[in-house]
Amino acid sequence: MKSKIAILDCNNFYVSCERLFNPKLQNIPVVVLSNNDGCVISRSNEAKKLGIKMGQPAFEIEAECEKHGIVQLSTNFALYSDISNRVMKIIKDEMSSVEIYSVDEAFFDLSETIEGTERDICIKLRQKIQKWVGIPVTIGIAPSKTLAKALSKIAKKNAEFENVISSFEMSEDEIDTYLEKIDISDVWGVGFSYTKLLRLYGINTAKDFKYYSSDWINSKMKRPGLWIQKELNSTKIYSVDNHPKPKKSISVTRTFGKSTTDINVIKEAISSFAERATEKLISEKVHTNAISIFLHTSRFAKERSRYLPSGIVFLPSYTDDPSVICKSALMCVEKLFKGKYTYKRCGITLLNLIPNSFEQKDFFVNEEVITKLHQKYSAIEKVNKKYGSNTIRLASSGFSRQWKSNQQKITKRYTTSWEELLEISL
Amino acid sequence: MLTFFKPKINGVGKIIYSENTIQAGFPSPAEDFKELELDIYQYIIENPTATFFARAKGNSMQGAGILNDDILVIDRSKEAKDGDIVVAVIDSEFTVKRFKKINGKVFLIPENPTFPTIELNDEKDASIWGKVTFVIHKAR
Repeated sequence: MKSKIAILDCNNFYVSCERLFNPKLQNIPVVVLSNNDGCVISRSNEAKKLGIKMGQPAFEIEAECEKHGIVQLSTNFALYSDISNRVMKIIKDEMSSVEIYSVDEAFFDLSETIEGTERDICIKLRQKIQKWVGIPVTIGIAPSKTLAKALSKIAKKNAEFENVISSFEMSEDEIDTYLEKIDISDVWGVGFSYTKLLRLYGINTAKDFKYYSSDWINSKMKRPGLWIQKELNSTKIYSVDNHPKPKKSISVTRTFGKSTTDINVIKEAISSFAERATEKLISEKVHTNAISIFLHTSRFAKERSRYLPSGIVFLPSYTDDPSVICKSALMCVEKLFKGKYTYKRCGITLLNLIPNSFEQKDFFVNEEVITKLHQKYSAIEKVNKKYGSNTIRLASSGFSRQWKSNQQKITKRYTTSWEELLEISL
Repeated sequence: MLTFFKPKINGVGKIIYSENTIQAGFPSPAEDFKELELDIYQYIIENPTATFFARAKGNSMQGAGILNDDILVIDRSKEAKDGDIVVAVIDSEFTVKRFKKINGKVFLIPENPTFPTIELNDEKDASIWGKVTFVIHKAR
């Protein structure tokens, strides 16, 4: 049976979530900024056209934003997480084999569909998601995950595909012309450090990589590199719902010797589990972006005393930071915990593990970049003070301001808080 | 920052759908209370994935039974039918109107006669956001 894999990828996901509840944001440049370092983590197409880059620090774009009326919003993760769950639910209801890859991406398997029907099936799925949840998505279809992902990038930049692109509708030559347009750093599995190495050898596009010497790739990147190459060559290596070497999840759970009704006991336990799980995460050289927590009463308790909740927290980006993981885990505990039950068992699972090299969004890189930029700007400031304020000019007055993200730009938690519902004036 | 599981016996609690299986293989939360209790959540929300809530502000929809601060239950998956109340977006603003089909044309009619009727066609910047299925009014 021929392998057919699809990747569904929400378009400008965070911005799209905001637009659902604020139609005034349609068709204008909008960016969403991360909380910690005030970086751009989502851009509308209009903002992209104005040259705003993914990961750009907020202070750097102040001038552009004022000049072009670019709306800046702070990340509203409660909202994005909820909308994401809805999108994923729709995909899971329609497709048999689904792998949620991140907050806005999922793979699904189309191998059992009739030849030639892939496009129609995906168009229908796309329309359903647009109608039910108001989120536009792009779907890439190919025999392998890596090629599907590559093509989906092409579809996002080329309106003629109407958001659904399939390698099965292309000749090998056509596929190659598209692979030539994909920068090597955008190939799934090729991270920051490999990109630098590959460029040294003149490998700058996905097509270059596809046709490069396998022996060389094997020597520099070992099997993972070879697999990327094979997948770009339309050979399936990775199955849907199935990840290569790294574990699919890391769990730490415990049954209490003595059952407890005390939330603090549970928090302490979860906190230490989180630490241990993160240790395993780091030693496996993987990152996570989803944490699942459960607290269970005895499963054999009478119905009224039985409570078996679990929850998942999606993180804004992949991480192996123990404090982030711990904080999220404890927040989850607080949401799940109900005082009238006696808990017997609890645990944490880190999900959606990806190898460190599979960096999806290079925010890890940006911390380095931001520090350097910050140093550079302090130097500029010193020079300006000594020689006069316009000696070295940035675009605007922006750089002397605080560049931490302004959380006042956060929108309401329209779907998770009764106090923050969308208000409609009648 | 949570994926919400479906509340089982709660009244109006957290909304949205339930994740019946968690990837790591945890057992699904028990879901067999249907025979034992009335679940208002299921009564009001037919399709959690496509259902959203909004709060009505103002009094112009009194004629349609919507009062200030009422909660509108909006289902985006339902096709509007003649006579339905819908949430629409007109000129980038949210609004609530009555959906009417007359001679194959679609109109959005305000309950308050001082507001204009809008015809839904390609020229007008107007679209349907979702159908109002329930209005939750808190009695004093």
